[in-house]
Amino acid sequence: MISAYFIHLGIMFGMYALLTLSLNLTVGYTGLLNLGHIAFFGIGAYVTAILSPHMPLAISIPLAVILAAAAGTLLALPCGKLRGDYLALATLGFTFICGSIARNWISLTRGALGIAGIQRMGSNTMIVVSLLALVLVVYLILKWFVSTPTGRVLQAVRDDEVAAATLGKDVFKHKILCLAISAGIAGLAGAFYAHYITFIDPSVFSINELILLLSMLIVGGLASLEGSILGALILVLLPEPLRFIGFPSSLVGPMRAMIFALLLLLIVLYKPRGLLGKVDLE
Amino acid sequence: MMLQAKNMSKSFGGVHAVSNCSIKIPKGKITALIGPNGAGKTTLFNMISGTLPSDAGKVSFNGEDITTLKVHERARKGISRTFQMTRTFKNMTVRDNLKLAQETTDDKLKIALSKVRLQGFLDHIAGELSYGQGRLLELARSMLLPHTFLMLDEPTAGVNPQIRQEMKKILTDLRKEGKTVLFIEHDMDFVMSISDHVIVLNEGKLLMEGTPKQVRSNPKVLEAYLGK
Amino acid sequence: MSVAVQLIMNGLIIGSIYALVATGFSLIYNVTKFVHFAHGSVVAFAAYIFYLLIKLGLGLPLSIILTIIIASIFGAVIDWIVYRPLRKRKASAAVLLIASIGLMILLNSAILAVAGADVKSIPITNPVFDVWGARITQLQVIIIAMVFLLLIGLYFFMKHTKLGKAMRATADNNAVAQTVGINPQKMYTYVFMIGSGLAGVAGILVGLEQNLFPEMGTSMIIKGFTGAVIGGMSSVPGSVAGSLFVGLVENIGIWWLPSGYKDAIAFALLFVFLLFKPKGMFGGKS
Repeated sequence: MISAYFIHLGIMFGMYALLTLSLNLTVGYTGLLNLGHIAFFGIGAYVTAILSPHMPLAISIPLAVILAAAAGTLLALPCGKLRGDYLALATLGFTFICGSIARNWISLTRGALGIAGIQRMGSNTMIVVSLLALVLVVYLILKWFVSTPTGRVLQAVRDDEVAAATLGKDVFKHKILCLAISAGIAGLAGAFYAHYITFIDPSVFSINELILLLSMLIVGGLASLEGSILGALILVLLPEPLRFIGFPSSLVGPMRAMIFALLLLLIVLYKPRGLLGKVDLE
Repeated sequence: MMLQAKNMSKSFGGVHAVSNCSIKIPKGKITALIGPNGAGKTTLFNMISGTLPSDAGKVSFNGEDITTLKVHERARKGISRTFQMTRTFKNMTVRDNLKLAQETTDDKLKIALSKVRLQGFLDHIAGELSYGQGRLLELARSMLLPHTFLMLDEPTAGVNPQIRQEMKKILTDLRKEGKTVLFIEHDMDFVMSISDHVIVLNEGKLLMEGTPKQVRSNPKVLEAYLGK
Repeated sequence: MSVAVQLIMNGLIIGSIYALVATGFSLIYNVTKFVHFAHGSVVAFAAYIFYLLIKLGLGLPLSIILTIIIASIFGAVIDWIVYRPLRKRKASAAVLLIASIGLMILLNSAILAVAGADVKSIPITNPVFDVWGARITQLQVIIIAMVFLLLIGLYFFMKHTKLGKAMRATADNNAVAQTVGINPQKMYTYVFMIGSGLAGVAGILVGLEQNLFPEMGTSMIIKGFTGAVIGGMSSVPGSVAGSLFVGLVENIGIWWLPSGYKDAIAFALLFVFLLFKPKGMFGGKS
């Protein structure tokens, strides 16, 4: 019983760690304030949920990753044209559009009812072990990636994309690359989610989830991969005591959201670099 | 001719920053672009490097029309530049700033930095440098980028007089290597002492051009600077 | 034919409520230069306060007045606690936006926790009329009239009163306005009070015309913000036009698409405009 609880926490942490690491690549390393990230997660989850009854997971999951990555490149257009708060709003709009499609394209997604009975990936133990191993692998790959010349270009794009262009760097292509990679990772996390919980509905596109993700990112700190892992850990564990205090179940949801929102506000107000961040949120 | 800009025009909401301006930059020489504030020098620079789209005009580089090329494409043709407001990558180290211009060893980077007396600063975060040091970093970076044509926007601004003297050597060395240099300046001593050719802009138009001597003694130039 | 008239009328009615939200929002944006996304939550907060006051038996007129005052003060308090410290730190517009989104979630969740997830409605007597083959209720007539009067009042206030002109000066050029002695923080406080007061009215009208649900704040700001973007963020009359447009498109759009797509239509419009016409139809600066 108890170990099942910790395994569940471990899986939640693993998913959020993947999401935060990939979001950090986009926001912290490339400077793109992409609030559509949660949509990539949802797309990955829905794609594999819809396809997996018709094909082995070994095919539906990679397809989910590829389609999530493709959605990422779609957002390269606003990321190319817009800056700062306008970019945040446009990408937020994208998340809302995806949520709306999930709610209304009933023949494909079964609307607000959601898709139930999704094939399970394996035992809980298998899922948590493979997920945590995946987090480690993604962390190591990203750590290597940001130290390569291409990783340097992404950071240059963040700091001053005009100057980067005058050094011969194709800024737009690099934005596409960054978005495709981070969206693919988010989509992979979504696929894991679908085949673990075995049920998804349009709430994966909710703005509450987005705030949670942003909080993890900012608490951990921009441009720090270790920070992202730490941020995910802290925020997955933080609301757990609520479970034991004995609030009525209808209150737990909004209380969780309030904790995350409050934490986000406090960090933005008093410690904008978060715990391990190397860059200011701008 | 290294670079030709023909009939360049740019307006900002009714203000004609540059009006039908044509200039030619001779190859392998040091050319200065001068003129009073608001003459359109930086605007012209930006249209040549592509960071500002022109309203009209054509730019050709080494005989090739580059008007439709994007900023990074022009840079790859061999155009390197610095900015009036220093643009370093402030969250990245000096090393990474330079490596973006050229992927090379620390030793070669140190050599590049020694030209601007910053050789010990490889691990410093660019945003923590002083204003003058930042400008020198930008200069070193622009020289590291493989180029045949270097555009410097007010290279001596914010830089102490001793380094100003050393900059003269930096530019004349570049000329010895066969590079073409175009720079905007307000420091007339600097301009007159190293330029082969001087172009004078006023109110968005070409006022005159010639050797430093010719420009220095031209009454129209004096008038433009002192006001009528 | 009467269906078309009905749809257009519905579009204009809900569009005028969006216009009210958009106007308050746009006013705040123009003076403070950032997107106060939590504005929708102030609308929701006002709606729920109004519901509470009515339930407590305070009667319509008193509840209305109190709600507007409370909403107004609430908006100013939000600015004081959250945005002002950030402005002091020279936070960018993007950071202020993130903070405002966090604030929105905080407020929406608080409403959910306190008031519960069930949909609430405010009972009023509401006779129906027949106009050009379409049905319109007394409330709907009042909505259109109220919004119209408020916007005219706002126009005169901004154009002809000392405070209005001072606010416009700050919106136009804060630095210069300060040199003639206009205190920016005072302007910010006033604009939050006025904008949130308008949000209060919007909350009352939406509470009466439609239902109350905890997520309504998100819905309101999306529609209002979209209207402001379409009309041009820097133009308050533009925001009004844009919001009416959103209301119309939504209602006419569901002629072809299932009604659930109403929100998606607004988001799609928003996305397209931000991408291709960020200055909107009438805005000058973006």
